[in-house]
Amino acid sequence: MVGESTIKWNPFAPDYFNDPYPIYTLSRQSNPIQKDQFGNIILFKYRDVAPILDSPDFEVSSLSTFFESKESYIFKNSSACPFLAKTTSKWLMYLNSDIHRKLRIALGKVLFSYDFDRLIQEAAQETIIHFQFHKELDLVDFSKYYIYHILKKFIGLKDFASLEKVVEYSNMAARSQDIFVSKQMYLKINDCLLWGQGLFAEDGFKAKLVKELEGFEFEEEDYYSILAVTLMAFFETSKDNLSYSLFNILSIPRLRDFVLKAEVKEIKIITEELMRFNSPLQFTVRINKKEVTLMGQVYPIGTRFVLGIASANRDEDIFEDADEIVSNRQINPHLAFGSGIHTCLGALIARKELEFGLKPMIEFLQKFEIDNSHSLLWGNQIFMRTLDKAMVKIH
Amino acid sequence: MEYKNWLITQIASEASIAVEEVDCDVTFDQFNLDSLAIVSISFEMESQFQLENVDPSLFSEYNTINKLCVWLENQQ
Ligand code: HEM
Repeated sequence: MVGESTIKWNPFAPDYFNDPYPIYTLSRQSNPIQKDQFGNIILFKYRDVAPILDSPDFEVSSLSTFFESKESYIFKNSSACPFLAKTTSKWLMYLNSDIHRKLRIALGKVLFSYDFDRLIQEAAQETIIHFQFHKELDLVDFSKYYIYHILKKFIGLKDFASLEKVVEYSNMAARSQDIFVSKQMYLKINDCLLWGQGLFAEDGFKAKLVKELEGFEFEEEDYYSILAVTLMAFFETSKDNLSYSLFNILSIPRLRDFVLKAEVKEIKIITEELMRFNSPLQFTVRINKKEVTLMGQVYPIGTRFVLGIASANRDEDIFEDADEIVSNRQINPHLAFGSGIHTCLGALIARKELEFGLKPMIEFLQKFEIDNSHSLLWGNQIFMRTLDKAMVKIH
Repeated sequence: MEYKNWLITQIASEASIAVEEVDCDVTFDQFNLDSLAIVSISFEMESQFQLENVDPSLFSEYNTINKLCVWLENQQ
């Protein structure tokens, strides 16, 4: 029965951001279907999460509509121009039906018109060269540098769009989707999204997008919305995934040795395993279009289900030694990229970032060790788990 | 008193009512607050009183201004 157990997922508990996995585990064991104070139903087990992602009876919940309903509250005593609903109006992961399908095809065409293999390989070399004389470095900075240099090569940024600015913009866009966000934070995000209109160059990616979307009657703000979501989706999760992957590989000698010796095929296998283990997007949301029954409980149409992707990816019923990084895990049906019609559009690119990056990066980074005088710093984010700092120093 | 006045001002502003209308023994759910309001007040409370990680579900347990004041006093 929902809610009777004393085990409760509580992202405000001390230490939650450092490690949310213990409460995921307890929840799977003792209270896998929970209801929070706002009526959200939170699911932790693979057997509940995976079928919902694939089911036509569920749809995504519109972020833009949420902002439309909240803007009068958020901007009540503020002179800022409301820009949250507008910026998020074409964010693919929050669109349903026809517009989702059409936009997904168009964005996919533009994205895959780039020679990512080359862009990624070049960026890996540039990153290693950039950090070659460092005696200590932050793996998060290292990862940001790499992903930013891939991003910059295809999305077309104006000159002033420095790494720092892109980092902040991407993070604000990521936070706009989190659960339990205060209006003060929304105001900050709104400022950043307004400012970000000047980030993108007119030629290249945007010009291709405009061409691909001929006939959609989109306006300037719609293109901006698509550019914003592409930047965020591209930058944020990839950077989070890489920084935590590098940290784990450098922390565990057997993984480091595995990567150093690995052939392409083995790199592909460990890439999947790192995705499962890290699950940068820890949760997503779905709404049911039909009444559903889970464990004997009936949920009316329109219930908000918060799907614990990261928890499902550590479910012992599916993954043996789920809390370990098993470098040669053969069967790995993880959900880190989602599943079903909203499956990550950039999954291939994200995979290549590790496939081309891991080995040369670990070859370079093997002279470093984790600097235990600095603890790992995690961002206060629930949906997109993000590492803020992970220092390493030369042996 | 500091806590009480501060909470009254916050609730009045969030619920768009006058401070005089705020009853300290009425439960928060009767103020017709936006669902984001509790998270926003928690956030303000953190910075105002230098608290760490204020859990918004606090407002369900200490569900009136008077009850929440007792909680706040015990934090110092
Ligand atoms: C390790 C890196 C990444 C992870 C873990 C990740 C994860 C995800 C997940 C879980 C979803 C599905 C969300 C849902 O079903 O609600 C998603 C959707 C999406 N991702 Fe990624 N992503 C990554 C990298 C990327 C990259 C590099 C791009 C490039 C543009 C990208 C673009 C998108 C887009 C556009 C969607 C929306 C797809 C749709 O709704 O049809 N992602 N991502």
